[in-house]
This record gives sequence, structure tokens and C-alpha cells, in this order.
Amino acid sequence: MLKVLIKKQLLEIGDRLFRSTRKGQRKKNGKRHKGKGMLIFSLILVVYLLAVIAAGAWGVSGPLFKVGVGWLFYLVFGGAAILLGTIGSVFNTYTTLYLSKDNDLLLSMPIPLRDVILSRLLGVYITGLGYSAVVSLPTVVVGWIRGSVSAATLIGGVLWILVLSLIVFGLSCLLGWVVARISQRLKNKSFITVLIALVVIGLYYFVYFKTMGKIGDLLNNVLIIGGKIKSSFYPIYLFGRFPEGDWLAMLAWTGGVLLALALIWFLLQHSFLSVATSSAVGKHAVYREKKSKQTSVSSALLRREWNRFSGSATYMLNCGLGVVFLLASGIAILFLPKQMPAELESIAQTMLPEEMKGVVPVFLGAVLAMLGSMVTITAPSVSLEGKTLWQIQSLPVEPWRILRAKLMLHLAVTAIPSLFCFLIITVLIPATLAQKLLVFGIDVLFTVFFALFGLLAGVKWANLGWKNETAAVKQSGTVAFSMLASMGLTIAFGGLYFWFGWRIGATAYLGIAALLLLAANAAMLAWLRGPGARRFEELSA
Amino acid sequence: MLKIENLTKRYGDKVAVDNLSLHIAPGEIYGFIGHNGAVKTTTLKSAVGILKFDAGTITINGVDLKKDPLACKKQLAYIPDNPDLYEYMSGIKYLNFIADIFGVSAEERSARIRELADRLELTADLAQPISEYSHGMKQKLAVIAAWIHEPKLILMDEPFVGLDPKASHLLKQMMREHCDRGGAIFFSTHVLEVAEKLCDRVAIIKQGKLIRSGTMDEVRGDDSLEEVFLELEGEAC
Repeated sequence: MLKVLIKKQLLEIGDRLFRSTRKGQRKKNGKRHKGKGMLIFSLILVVYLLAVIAAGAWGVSGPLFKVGVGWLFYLVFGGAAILLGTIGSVFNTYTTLYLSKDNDLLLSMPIPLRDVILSRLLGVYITGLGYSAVVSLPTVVVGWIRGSVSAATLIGGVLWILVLSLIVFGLSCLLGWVVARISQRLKNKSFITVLIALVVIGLYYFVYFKTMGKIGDLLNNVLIIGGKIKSSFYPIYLFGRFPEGDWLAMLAWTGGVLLALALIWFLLQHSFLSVATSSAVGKHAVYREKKSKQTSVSSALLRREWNRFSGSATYMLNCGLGVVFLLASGIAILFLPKQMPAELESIAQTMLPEEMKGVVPVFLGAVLAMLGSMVTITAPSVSLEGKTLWQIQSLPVEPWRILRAKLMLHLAVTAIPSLFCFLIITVLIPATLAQKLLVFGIDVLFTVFFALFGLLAGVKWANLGWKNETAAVKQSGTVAFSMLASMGLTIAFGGLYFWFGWRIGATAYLGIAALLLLAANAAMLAWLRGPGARRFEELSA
Repeated sequence: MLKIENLTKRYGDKVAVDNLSLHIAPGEIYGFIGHNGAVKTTTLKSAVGILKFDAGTITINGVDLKKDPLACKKQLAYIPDNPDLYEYMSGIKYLNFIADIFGVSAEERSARIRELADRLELTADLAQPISEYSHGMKQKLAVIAAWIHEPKLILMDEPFVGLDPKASHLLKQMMREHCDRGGAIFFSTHVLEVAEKLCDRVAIIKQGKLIRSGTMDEVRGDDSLEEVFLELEGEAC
């Protein structure tokens, strides 16, 4: 039975990855396929991410392995893998496990409850493994290169990756269960869930930045800090020793994690039915007639998008988190010491050759743009129409107006925090007035670019047949693709300055970048208004 | 009101709707009958402008659907077989959204929502999120949304599925009243008794081809609609 359910789960994943949603695209074999381009691009991005993490790991591992505390390297990167994996998959657990639309169907069939939960958890595990392996895999490979390779380190490394993924899995299940319990009791659950998540993420970043702040200390005082951890937090020390082939560490951590998973399994199995089958919450809201107000079609479409966005914690957290980062960055910069921009300039003056000294405005422009690239509201917005697509397609509204409303929501949600952040930074950066204006303009253009690009990807690779919205928001690849591609672009914008931009100077470089962005935005807008709108019209759930 | 002329719709090499022609006049309730997979839904979706078709013409009050889809859509309402509505909205927000799209004034929509929701006994639940509605409640909400802008033509796909007997009865009354006011209704159904009692004209479709159409008397003659349908389907009564 479990095999059948797992097969169904894998078919679902395959279906959302490869099935095209364009009407009349049936091929001779009866299946409809998406282009291979998306898959190839996703693979390239994964390789890129692995390379970036590997480069970081390579830099940090050198001094640590040199003084014989390689375990501290594994500890730092293992912690990062757990945090990334857990944050990446916690809401996935909640929706996959408890909100799948076929829960009722499966529960009505003669299938052991255990098999239903296990098959659902497979997807959660794969997601957690994917997120954590992005960090753990290059970490272990770098560790093998820096340290020694033996049977013990090979077994330890591989087992460590698996145990890390199981830790992520356990934490995701536990937090997913907490989110489900909270959601059961709340009426306005999406906003409160977002608030709780923001507090958790805030705490994560607090700890992260504190840790990063100590990295310098760590590298300078590795032996003292390592000694302290070893004497005061022995299990933590063992966690770092695990991939170094320490058999005791392997045994203790594998056993401990399996025991913890058994407890979590017990909790999930005993609460699943009550959580998954609970329906209405709180009091029944009784309708009282109020004076209604007629609004324009554009406003109605925009409000529809807003209702969709604000009605889903998963959507808000996965696609709107960048807004919080933008706002937080703006506020944080306000409280930075006043001499900071000048210090930045002085660092650039000291570290860079004469011809590259104009890098500060370009660098800051790229950093701001990267923050904006984390807002991906438009990317899943088409997929989220799902089975309700018939509704908007049957109404007397031009397809472009529907797409425009999606675009407008992205821009409206991003506008205030972005402009606030851009303005503050633009005012503070040490640059000429022309450069300041160009940096501001470029970041505005980047924001529009991300909205347009997300929508373009959303129309091109819509996934309308989802069973829970997480599939549309996180697992269809469109969001990850548009976010990573956008981030890649901002990195390219910063990086190209070092390659050739410095030859023409920061002002000219910023000017050319602004023109290119303007042209790209115009091209995407033209595509969306024409072929994109027609493609949207032809989509079928 | 609705003219479907030589409609042909293909899925790849397969011809789904084969040269189908139907005329639905104002004041008519037109039933569309066929077995599962007879492409009733495909025909309805094509007539609503959701599905593109390969050949033929569909006109609504003389307006060509392919040439001016928006003008056609303004005159019609559609209720699908499974009312997948916006679950992130409350019932009242959903109705206001539909009313805004069709430009229904504030006064008119309030009056219509009041009347229709009271009639279908949904008023108390309008503030609830649609995600908490039962199938029948969603179906009632879809009916109110279809009627809210007083369309000339209403297309419905199995509209009685999920409705309780009282709501079913009310819907039949509403359909008749709508046609008495000069509107037209084109709906698909499996329930031959309903079609027999309610429809002015029916069309029977099999594997995408129209096999019989006309007034109820013309189609059934001296037999019951069920007998005719089964005979046409090639099964022994």
C-alpha cells in the first residue's frame, strides 16, 4: 500500500514539474510536456549554488583545518544547513501534511493512516534534503579535500549528510505540527502565522549575525573557542567530529536523531487525524449587510490579487519576505554610525586598485537590487489560479488586465519599503549626484524587472494542477527559478563592474546598466501584453 | 440568443466536438444531454470563451465570440460543474468582485444580493470564507454570482449537482423566471427527468456529434426522454 501511495506522490511531483498547462498541447503519447529548458536552467542554478557554498566553505575551512579544528568547520556549516533546511521546508510540512486536497479521499479508503502520513512525509523529506544538501554536500567535499580521506571519513561524511537531512526533517515536522496547531485555533491565521514566522526568522537572523560577528573571533581564537565547546558542549563537539570519522560521534548522533524522530512520529501519528480533518475554526461570522461600494474593474482585480496574497501565509512568507528585508535594511541603515558610508569608501580606497575606486555606488546598488530580488510575488501568481482559472477566463476582462493586476500587486507591496530603503541608501552613499540618481533609478528598474520577470516565468511555466498551494508557491520551480535568476542578474551587475565596468567609470557603467534594464523591462512588458496574455488565455487547469 | 454553427474542437488528432450546430432562442431553457465524455463541458466552455475551438462560429446576440469575446462575455454567466471559487474570499467579497467586474452599481448589487441570498438561504453565511462552504453552498453562491449582473444568457454545467431538494426547486424556478423575462438558459444535465420537466428544447449529443435536437415533443415523440436517450445511445431499453 505504501508503495502505491509513494508512487502517487512521485507522480504528483513529476506531473507538476513536467506537465504543460496549455490547452490543446496534447502530444501523440497523450502526455503534455513542459520545455526541457526549465529543467536545464534549474540544474545550472543548483550547480551555481553548490559552487558558491563550496567557495565559502573553502575560504573558512583553510585556517580551521590548519590548526587541527576541522570539526569546528563542520559544526558551523552543519548548523547553517540545518537552519536553511528547516526554514525552507517548515511551511511545506504544514501544507503537504495537513492541507492536501486529497486527504479526505485517502482517509476514506482502506489505507492504514501510517501509510498516508509516510507517503506525505516523503515529499517533506525530499524538500528538506534538497535544501540542506545545498550546504552539506559541498561542506563534506571541501572537508575531504582539506582533511584526510579514509574509510571512516567517507562513511562519516555521507552519514552526516543523511543525519543532517533527518534533523531538518524532524524539525520541519515538529514546527509544521506547531503551525498546524496554531492555525487550528486562529481565525486570522495567515497574518498571525506570518507574524510568528517573522519572529522566528528574526531570531534566526539575530543569532546568525551574532555568530557572523564572532566569526572573526572564531578564526582568531579557534583553539580557545574550540576548547570551550569541547569542554562545555560535548554533544555539539561530537556533531562536528561526526564527518571526521569519529565512530562514537556517528553512533551517538545517528542514534539520538533516530530516537527523536521516533518521538516525533508518535506525535504526528496521534494528532494527524484531528488536525487534518478539522474544518471551520472559531465563531461563525454572521453576515450583516453593509453599504456596498462599486469599484473599477482594475481595482477589483487588484483587490482579488491582494486577497489571494494576504489570505495565504505560505504565499506571503515565501514570496514577500524580501519586503521585510528591504524595510529592515532601511531602518538598520538609519541607525548605523554616521561615519559608516565614509568608512566603506575608505575600505574601497585602501583595498582596491586606483581604477576601481568607483565601486561603492555600484556595489550598494547591487546589494539593494539583491534584496529586491527576494520578492517573488508575481512568480507563482498565475499558478495560484489553479482550478479557479475558469472563473477569470469566463469574465469579460482582457487577459492583459488580469496580468497587470498581478504586476501591480507586486509593485504596490514592494513600493514603500523599496523606495524607503533606496532613498536612505542613495542619500548616504559617498557618490556624485548623478551616480546617486542612477543608483536610485537602477534599483527602481530592478524592482520592476523582478516583477515582470516573475510574471513572465509564471505565465510560461504555470502549474495549475496542484493539490496544495505549496506546490505552486515552492515546488513548481517557477519561484526558485525567477528568484535565483534575478539574484544571478544582480550578482552579474556587481561582478561585471570588476571585469570591465571600471574601464568606463561608475557613472557610465550605471548609465549603461540602467538603459539595458529599461530595454529588458520594455521587452518583457511587450511580451506580457501580447504573446504572454494570449498564452494566459490558453492556459487550462 | 446563442448560435453555435458547425463547431469543431480537436484535442491533438482527436476530434472532440464534430461540426455541432445549435440555436438557443430568447425565452428558452435548452437542455444538453449526453453520456459521460460526450464533450458537453467542452461545448459549454467553448461557448463561454474559456476554450478556443478549431472551426465554426459561436455568436451571442449576433456578436461573434471569436471577434469580440468581451462583448459576448458581458452578456453571459457561466456555472461550471464543480464550483471552484476563490476560497480566499468570503462569500460577500466574491459577489462584490463579480459585481465590480460587470459594473453593477452599489444599489443594484445590494438589492440583488439581498434578494437572491435570502431566496437561496445563504445570507447568514455570506461573511464566512468560501473555504468553509460546503459543495452545495458554493453552488448556491455560484448561482447568485451568475444572476447578480442579470445576464441575458446563462450557461450551466450540471447545475443541480450538490444542491439540496429545496435549492434545486428554487433554481428551477429562477431559471424559468429568467427565461420568462426574455433571457435564455443552456445547461447540461444527466438527470433526464429534470430535462423533461424543465426544458423547452433539448439536444442529445454522442461522441461529439449532435444526434437529435428540437422541442421536447419533437425529440421524445410518444416515448419518455429516457427511452429515447437510451435508444439513441444504442442500448436496449
